[in-house]
Amino acid sequence: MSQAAAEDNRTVTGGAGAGGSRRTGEAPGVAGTGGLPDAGRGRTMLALRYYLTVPSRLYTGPGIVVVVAALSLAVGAVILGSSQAEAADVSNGLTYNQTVVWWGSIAPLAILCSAVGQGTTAMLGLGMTRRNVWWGAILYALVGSALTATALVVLIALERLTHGWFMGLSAIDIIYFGRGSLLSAWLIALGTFFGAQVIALLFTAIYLRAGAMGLTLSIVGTAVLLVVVMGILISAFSRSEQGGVSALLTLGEGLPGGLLPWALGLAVLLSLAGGWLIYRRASFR
Amino acid sequence: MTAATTPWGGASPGREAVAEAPASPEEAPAVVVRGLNRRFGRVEALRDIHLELAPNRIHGLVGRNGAGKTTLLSTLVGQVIPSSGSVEVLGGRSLENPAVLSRTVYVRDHQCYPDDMRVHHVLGIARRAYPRWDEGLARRLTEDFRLSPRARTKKLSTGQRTSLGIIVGLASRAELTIFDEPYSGLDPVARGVFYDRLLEDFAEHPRTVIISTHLVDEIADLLNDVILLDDGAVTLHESQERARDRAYRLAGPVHDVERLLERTGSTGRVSRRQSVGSMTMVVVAAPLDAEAEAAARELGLEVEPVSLQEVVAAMGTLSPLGSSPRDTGDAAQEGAQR
Repeated sequence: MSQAAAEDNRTVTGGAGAGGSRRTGEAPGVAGTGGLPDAGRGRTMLALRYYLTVPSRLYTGPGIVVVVAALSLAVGAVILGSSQAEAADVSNGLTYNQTVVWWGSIAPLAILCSAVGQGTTAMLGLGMTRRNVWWGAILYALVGSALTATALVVLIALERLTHGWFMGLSAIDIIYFGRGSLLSAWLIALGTFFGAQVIALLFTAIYLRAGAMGLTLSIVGTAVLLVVVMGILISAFSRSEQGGVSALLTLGEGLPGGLLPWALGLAVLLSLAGGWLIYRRASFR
Repeated sequence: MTAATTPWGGASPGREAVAEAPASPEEAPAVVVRGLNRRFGRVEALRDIHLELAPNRIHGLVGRNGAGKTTLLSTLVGQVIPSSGSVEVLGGRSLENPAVLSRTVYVRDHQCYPDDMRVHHVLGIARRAYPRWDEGLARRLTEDFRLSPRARTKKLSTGQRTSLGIIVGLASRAELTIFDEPYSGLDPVARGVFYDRLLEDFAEHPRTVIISTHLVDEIADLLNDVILLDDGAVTLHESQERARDRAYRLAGPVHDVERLLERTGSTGRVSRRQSVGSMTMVVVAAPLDAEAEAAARELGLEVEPVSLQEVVAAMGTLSPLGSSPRDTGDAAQEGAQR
């Protein structure tokens, strides 16, 4: 069809306001945003769908937890079978093994950061806002973490039901998850996996805003800051009766779970706020 | 803020362009840009841009590499935050405004998608994003471009990735549809498919389309309006027909051509010159007025219109901050295509 034909057709159907909305009978574009439905919330759910659209992303967390748990159990079984050690001793050693915590956190966060980093411009191009993309990612992190935590708790429950997989080995019900109720294990796992992804999203936002150099500087800066803060705290507490690190740890005695979970919780909250503040002012060329 | 100048002597090209931009009073502009500036460190990517784009037309954004086309387009949809100035799209501020952005689609050159996504994932999300999405058109275009819905986006060639963007852009039927260099890696057949489908669909579903490109002549017939961006400033914003009149070609004996250029004060407006023996051909980046035309006829010189590509090249070559006019060869055109 020629341009002239297009022109003719436009003349017949034209006259619509911005984008021909009047022609289709939809709400016309008006000055400002008044009179138009707020598409924000729906678009955040659309961003969530964007992250969820590849099913393998969502199953990576639970999958990796199952694989790592199986490997941990296999290592425990090999140790038990190849040594004179008692099952209780091997099991006790396994409860300090945190590979399931690390891998359950790292694999999903790598996928999420990649999805946000590579997908931001595509999502914005499809009419989403930064707010949609960011909070969609946070919701996705929450959903994914809940699923991973659920898989983990199911494994813990099975381990308890089978009395250590019929070998007396505790490969998944580790000290990190509290060894208490399944609910508390689920909450600890959820907090860990979600927190790791939120902190990772902070650095993704820094990368998107300031590039590779900004990311490197922020990681080095965070490391230096942590060392300095720890140094100051240890130095300050070294003069107490117990001295040094042990004195520092007593600081959290009044807090449920101790100091570390609260410090990590604060870091996650700061990352959540900081990440959004950085991301919302990023430009994408 | 830098006040840009143009080869035509206007101190504020954007404002001049706005004054000339075609927009009937009853139609609210689809895009209104006022005093837009954007800096990236020391680089002034956009300088005092003033634009009004009429709705339901196809606008061509042309300019050399690094002229600021992508930055301008990204700013329109809020992906780049302006250093100063204002941008209104479809009647509202576009930056972080879901009511406006949900009615736009922006297809980037070399659009990046997460590695694990497949073509059908991208199309599925786009389908949910746009209420006026045309699934039939998307399917037809997928077949036309020979894209496999199961293909992973990271495995797509540059041309296939471009095709995917075109499908999303056309099938979305967004009120403001923006294509940034929608030709990367596309073979001539695929480009033909794009032009045909764009015109067909535009005729049935008019909307505001902005296409940025280097291939000016190839899409010239698609365009209603032309916006020329040079070194971050708008140096031309006119209907395509009027834009073509911004330059002309003059050919004849060297002596006579030089005489005419001197008489009309156009010596400094020569953007391109080719000489063979005693004959020369020049492209003059200025409108041909009646006096110059009469003088040319009197001297027996040939006066011809030039293509839109040559207008763009001529104006780019004569930009105050661009390179100086070349004496021989096709330098201006090469520059525009580089």
